[in-house]
Amino acid sequence: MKFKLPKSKKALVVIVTIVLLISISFTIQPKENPNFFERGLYFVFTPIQTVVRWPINKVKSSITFFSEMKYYAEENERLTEENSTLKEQIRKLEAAGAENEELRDLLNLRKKYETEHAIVAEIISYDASAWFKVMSINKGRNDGVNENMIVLTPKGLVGKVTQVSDTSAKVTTILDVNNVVSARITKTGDLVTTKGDMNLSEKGLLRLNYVMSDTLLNADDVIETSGMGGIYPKGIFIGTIKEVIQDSTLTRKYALLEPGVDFNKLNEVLLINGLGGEES
Amino acid sequence: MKKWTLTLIVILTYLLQTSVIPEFSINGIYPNLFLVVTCGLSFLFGSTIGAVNGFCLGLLNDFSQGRCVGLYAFLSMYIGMILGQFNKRFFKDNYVVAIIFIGFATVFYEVVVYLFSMFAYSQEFSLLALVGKSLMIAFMNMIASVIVYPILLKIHIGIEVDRNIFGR
Repeated sequence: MKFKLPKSKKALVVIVTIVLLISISFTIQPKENPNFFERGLYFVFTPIQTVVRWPINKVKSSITFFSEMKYYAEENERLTEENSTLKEQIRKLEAAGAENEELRDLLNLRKKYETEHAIVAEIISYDASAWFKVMSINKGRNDGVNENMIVLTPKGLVGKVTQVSDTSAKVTTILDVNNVVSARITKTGDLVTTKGDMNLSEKGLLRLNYVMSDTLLNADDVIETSGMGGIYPKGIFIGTIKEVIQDSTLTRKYALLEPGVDFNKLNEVLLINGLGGEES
Repeated sequence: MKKWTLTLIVILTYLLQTSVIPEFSINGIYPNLFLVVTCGLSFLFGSTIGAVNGFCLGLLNDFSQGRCVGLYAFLSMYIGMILGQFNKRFFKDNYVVAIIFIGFATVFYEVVVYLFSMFAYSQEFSLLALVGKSLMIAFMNMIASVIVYPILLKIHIGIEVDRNIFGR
């Protein structure tokens, strides 16, 4: 098959190809600030995407509400019981807390953390690729969003903010291949890392690396952030172990981790400040 | 008329792909409207329009991900150019041929993106994941093209009629 293109067009194709290849080689590493064209794109499309997403999010919320009504009734009953137990525990804690200055400081810190730095944002778009897991939110630098802010929901860690424009921001989820999270096994305290894996992301799973062969790790074990990586504060729930797999070298093993967050049902997320460093 | 219509198609495709299409995901996989529209336009309008629209849609895809700028533009432009070569070889109203081409183009596109990402981001190779996911997306794109291609065909006919009657 011969390409039927005039010479001038062939030359244009060659020039565009060279420019694109140069662009690919220069932008292959993740960057924090969107370029001029990306900022323009976000500026124009973010308000439109917000409008388009609004009815979709409302319908999704309504469907979820009705489908989970029975669950909510049972949950309400369970929580009422749990509430009375917790109230009892709080009374005990308050008695102890009066004598414990350290606990009081911690409580103050927690209050500050919750009220001053939390931003609620809505998901407005998803990337078109099946291999990467990046989404956009409707809050940007004008709303106080910065790079490396932590994105989470009550069900667990979603990811981190990797790019911010004035009116929107990109969130690289923990399922993405570029997102490594320093984590720990809650039960034993052993340090591990989670990393997105292209081959697992469509199943909604990620990979737990650096697990020594003598580490006690079983299915359903809870994994949370370790606070050691530089970005994610300690103790944020990431997910539970689905399967533990022994490495062929027998010195290490890895595990498949099921995140607490259902990424297909995300509508709103909470943004909090990270530790301010680079996750390593 | 033609330029404005094609620009509108690109903008609508971007909005639908980023805000609406993800709602039809199965296990996190959803159709790639950028590719479906690129292939459809190439098949209907030929190489030049196929390549230009592929480039524009690919670039929007690159920018919307905020990652490696140029990969999708590069791929979509060449897919648009190659598929456009078949523009005069088949009847445009033959949906089946167009849909099959879209399926093959999707597999090619996903395999290239997978291999590129595997090397660029140090990922392990998994034939099962590559084949499974690529075929799944190809199947979804073919389903999407059953709806999209007839719409593009009607637009194409409209533009041709407009040109023949009014000379625009």
